Amino acid sequence: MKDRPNILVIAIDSLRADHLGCYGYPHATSPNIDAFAREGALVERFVCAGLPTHPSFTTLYTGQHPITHGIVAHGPRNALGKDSPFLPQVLLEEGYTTCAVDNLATGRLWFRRGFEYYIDPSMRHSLYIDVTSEELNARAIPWLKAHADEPFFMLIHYWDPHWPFNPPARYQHLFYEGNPTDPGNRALERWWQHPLGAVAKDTWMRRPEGLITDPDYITALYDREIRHVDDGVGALLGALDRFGLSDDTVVVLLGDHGESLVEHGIFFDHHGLYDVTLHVPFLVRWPGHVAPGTRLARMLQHHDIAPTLLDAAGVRIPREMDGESFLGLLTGASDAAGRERAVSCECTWQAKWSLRTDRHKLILARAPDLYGSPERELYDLAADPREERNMADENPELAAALTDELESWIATRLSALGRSEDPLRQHGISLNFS
Amino acid sequence: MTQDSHVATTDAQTLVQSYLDAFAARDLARCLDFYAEGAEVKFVSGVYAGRAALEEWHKERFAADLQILRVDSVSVDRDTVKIDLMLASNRLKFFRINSLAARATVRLDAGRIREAHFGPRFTDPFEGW
Repeated sequence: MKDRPNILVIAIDSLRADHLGCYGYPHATSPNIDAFAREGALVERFVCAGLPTHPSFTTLYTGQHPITHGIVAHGPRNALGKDSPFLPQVLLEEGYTTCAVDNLATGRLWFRRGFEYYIDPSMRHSLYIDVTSEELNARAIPWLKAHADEPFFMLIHYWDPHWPFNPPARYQHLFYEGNPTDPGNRALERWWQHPLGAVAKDTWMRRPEGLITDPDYITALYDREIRHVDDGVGALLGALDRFGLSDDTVVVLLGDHGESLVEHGIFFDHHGLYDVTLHVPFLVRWPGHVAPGTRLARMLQHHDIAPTLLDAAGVRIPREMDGESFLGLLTGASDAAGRERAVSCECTWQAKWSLRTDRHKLILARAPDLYGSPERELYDLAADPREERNMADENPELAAALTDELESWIATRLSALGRSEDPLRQHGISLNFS
Repeated sequence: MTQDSHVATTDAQTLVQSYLDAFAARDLARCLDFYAEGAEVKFVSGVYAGRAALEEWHKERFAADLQILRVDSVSVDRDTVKIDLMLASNRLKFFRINSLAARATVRLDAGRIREAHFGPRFTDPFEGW
């Protein structure tokens, strides 16, 4: 037994919580992840702080909210400041052997910080998002075996549930019966008018038998990709068992952001500050420390992850991290953690802030979006969990109060950082893939 | 281009270059004439099979003003021609991508295109460092 635990972070791109069995999904998308969830803790309300992938992973690594680290969008205008702390860098300095099985550093070099080993199997693909869980595991599992005697930190980034949804043929019988290319089905025509929809229509939605027209089929493809990555997770956890590492390893499984499938007229992408995109799974297994079957109802966010993992490793948490450790919640030692408010933002496909309370969510646009959505949206998450009825006009007092609270939060944080301009206004919508 | 002239064109590289010339000239009929019966175009991860689908694919590319900015390399291996190029289009410009490194892999059969795959080309960010 080592005196410090190994840390394995399993990050799954575009994985929304409500399509996993352990979060109540009725289809068998996730038998391995569900079994893993039963062995440790499940966070019921884990809310993404920054969309999409680059802001979210930067938040995870730095332990800072996007307003602090400044990476609010994809695109070349971004650069992470040297003064931002970085989880693998801290762990490396503390004697951990650090390894990423990932490809984000191909686009942005800061994702390489602090990793002694950076393994990128996607270099064999023309599109980095095409890398499969099998290819990642083929590199990750031998690495785990080779480094079993060292305290290690590994982050593995699976991409299977990210579009384009092209699951292997062995999953093709799952979750759908119908005619995916029925020319009479016009349910996606509005989506074809969106620039992202036009790209999808021209590329991955085009099959030898014709153009996919049934959104239910695409949802099934997404679910098949979840089953695909679930098998990958099962293989990785199985290897951890075989190498005798499971008892000594804190394993975290999370989504960087979710995916809007058909909701709100946003088809098959991860923009929009609705819960389908913000609510992601967060699971932790640490035998002997986290009781099996633990469920946490408190609201948590990605910038809480790095402080928590450093806490678990017994490492001092850099004061520049503005997330909070929730290790006490996980172990049952304390209940003094969790958020009453969660602020999220996006600036890649649209520029918006959101403020989530226990009961309500306010979404505030800094620029018009392509859907013609109102500048301000307010939802009662208890009465309307699908966020289908904007009540900003019928409850203007509450909308104004939450707007004031959000604007005040932004202004206070900026002031503390010595800045004045809202980063969404400063950056502008990037419309950038990578 | 007639079927006879297709047959006469035995040099794979020349045939593919002729196709690219027809594409650049936005000559839909001539482009389609290069394709064999039952040919397929793979466009990134999409598949266009059959003449109507191929016609639609070409029309969409013309409408987006897809242009070949530069040919970086051409290689021929038996019946397959591989071309690395730089592309631009209105659709890419919307996403603020001024040019895109791409690869066309074209497999020929009896003087016609049997299968063509057009997609982005991986460029190693550390190349040249």
